[in-house]
Amino acid sequence: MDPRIIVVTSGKGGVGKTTTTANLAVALAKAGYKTAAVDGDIGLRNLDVVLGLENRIVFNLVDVVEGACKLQKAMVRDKRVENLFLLPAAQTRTKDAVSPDQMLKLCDELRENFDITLIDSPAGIEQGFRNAAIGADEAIVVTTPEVSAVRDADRIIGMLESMSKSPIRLVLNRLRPAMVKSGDMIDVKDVLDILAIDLIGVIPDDTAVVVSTNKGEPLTLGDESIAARAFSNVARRILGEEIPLLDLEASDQKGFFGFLRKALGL
Amino acid sequence: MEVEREKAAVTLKGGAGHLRLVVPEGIPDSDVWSGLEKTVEGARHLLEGGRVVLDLQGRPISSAFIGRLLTDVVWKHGLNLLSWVSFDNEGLKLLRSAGLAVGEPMAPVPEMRAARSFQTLLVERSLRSGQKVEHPGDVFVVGHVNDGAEIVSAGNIVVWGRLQGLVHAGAEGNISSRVIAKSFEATQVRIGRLFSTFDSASPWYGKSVLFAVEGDTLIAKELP
Ligand SMILES: Nc1ncnc2c1ncn2[C@@H]1O[C@H](COP(=O)(O)OP(=O)(O)OP(=O)(O)O)[C@@H](O)[C@H]1O
Ligand SMILES: [Mg+2]
Repeated sequence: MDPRIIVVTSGKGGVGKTTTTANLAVALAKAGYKTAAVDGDIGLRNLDVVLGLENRIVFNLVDVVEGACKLQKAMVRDKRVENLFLLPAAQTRTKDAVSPDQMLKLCDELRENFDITLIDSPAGIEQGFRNAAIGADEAIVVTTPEVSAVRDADRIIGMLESMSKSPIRLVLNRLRPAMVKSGDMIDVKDVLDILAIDLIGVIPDDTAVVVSTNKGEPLTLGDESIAARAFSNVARRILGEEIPLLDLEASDQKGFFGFLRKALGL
Repeated sequence: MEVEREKAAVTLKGGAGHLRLVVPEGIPDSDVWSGLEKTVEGARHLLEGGRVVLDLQGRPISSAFIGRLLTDVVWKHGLNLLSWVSFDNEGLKLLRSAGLAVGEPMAPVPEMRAARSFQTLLVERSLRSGQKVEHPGDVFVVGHVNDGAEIVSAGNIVVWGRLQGLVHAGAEGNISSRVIAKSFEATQVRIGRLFSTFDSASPWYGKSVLFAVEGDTLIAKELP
C-alpha cells in the first residue's frame, strides 16, 4: 500500500473529529499499519488528551516545521499499541505559526515514515483547516445529523472537492436510535442525499465514548461496545475491506438495527 | 410666483416601445370621455398596431369606470392594451381581480433581447453550502442547490433538483424573470427587487413551484 494521508474534518466544531481520529488511529495501528495521528488543531491541542498521551509530550508540530527538532524525535510512541505515534500540536502558538508550505513539507516527511497518517483538523473553514487539509490525499468528513452540522459539512466538502481530495467520505456520528424527529435534526437518508458522498461509517451516540475521552483511552483499544465496533469497521473500510453497514448493529441492538436499516433504505 | 402646470387634458405620448394614453387626475369625469374620444380619433394612424399603456395616474377608479373604459374606448377603437397604470390602490385591486395587466410594461424589448442573448449557464452538479454562481443570463442547475448556496442571475433560474439555498433571478431588474424549482425547500426567493420568505409549513414546501412577478408582487404557482 502506498502511504496515505487522511484529513479528518467537519466544519462545525464539537462533532467528533478528535474522537474519530483517535479511535481510527488506534484501530489502524492494531491492524498492523504504522500509523501517525497528527494534531492539526494548532493552539487548541487535545488529540494528545483523547489518546492519553499528554504527559509524554516533549516537542510538537511547530518545533518540527521550524526545524527545532527532527520528526522522529517529536513523535510520541504509544506504549499500549504497537505502530501508533502521535505528533502533538503546540499549545502556546496560534494557527498562523505554520504555513501551507511547511505543512506540505511535513506531509512529505510523514509519507516517508508512516503507512497511514491521520490529521485531526480544527473546526471552521479558515487557514487552520486549510493547513490541516493541504497535504492530505483523502478526507473523512465527520458530521452529526443536525441541520447546522450538515450545512457546515456540505461547505467543507465543497472546499475539499476544490482542493482535489479523493476520496472524500462521511462518518455520521452521534446517531441516536430513538432519535426523535425534531426541527434541528435531519433524517439519515436526507443527510446522505444532501451531502452526496460515500458513507464510510455510522457511529452511535454512546456514553462510553465520553467516558473513554475523559480517560484518554480510545474505545478501539479493546472495548467491545457498539461504538468501538463502529469505529473499527470504519478503519477496516479505510483499509479497503467491504463490510456491510448492517454489521454494525449486531445482535443485541435490535432497535438500532431496525432504525438504521430503515434510515438507509435497506 | 405662478407655477406652470401641465394643461390637464387627455394626451397621447410616445414611450419606449409603446404609446402612453394619459388621463390626468385633474380633469373632471365628464371631460374624460370626450377627451379620450378626441385623442384616440385624432391619432388613429398612430394607434393602429401600436401597443398602448393606459395611464390613469392617481384618479380614483371604480368598476363602472373600468367597464366604460373598456366598452367605450378600448374595444370600440380596437386598442391593443399592454397594461394599465394607476396609483389608486383600490383601482389597482379591481384591475388585478379582473385579470388585467397592471404596472409599467416589461422592460423595453431591445433590452430584453440583450439580457437573453447571454448563453444559458448549465450547472450539471449540486451547489454546496458556500458556493455561489453569478451569471448575466439564465442559470439551469441539474442538481440540488443546498442550504447556504447562492445563485444570482440576470435572467431565469431553473433548479432541476431540490432548492434550499438562495436564488435571485432578474437581479439586474428584469422582472419578467422566473424561478422554477423541481422541489422547493428554500426560505427565500428573490426576483428583481422583490423577495418573499417561506418556511417548511408553507404550501409550496417540497412541491414543484414557479415564481414570477405580477404587478408588484411575487407570486408562486405549483407546477404539475
Ligand atoms: N459517538 C459519540 N457519542 C457520545 N459522545 C460523543 C460521540 N462522539 C463524540 N462525543 C463527545 O463529543 C465531544 C466532542 O468530541 P470531539 O472533541 O471529538 O469533537 P471535535 O469535532 O474534535 O471538536 P473540536 O471542533 O472542538 O475540535 C466529546 O466530549 C466527545 O466525548
Ligand atoms: Mg477536536
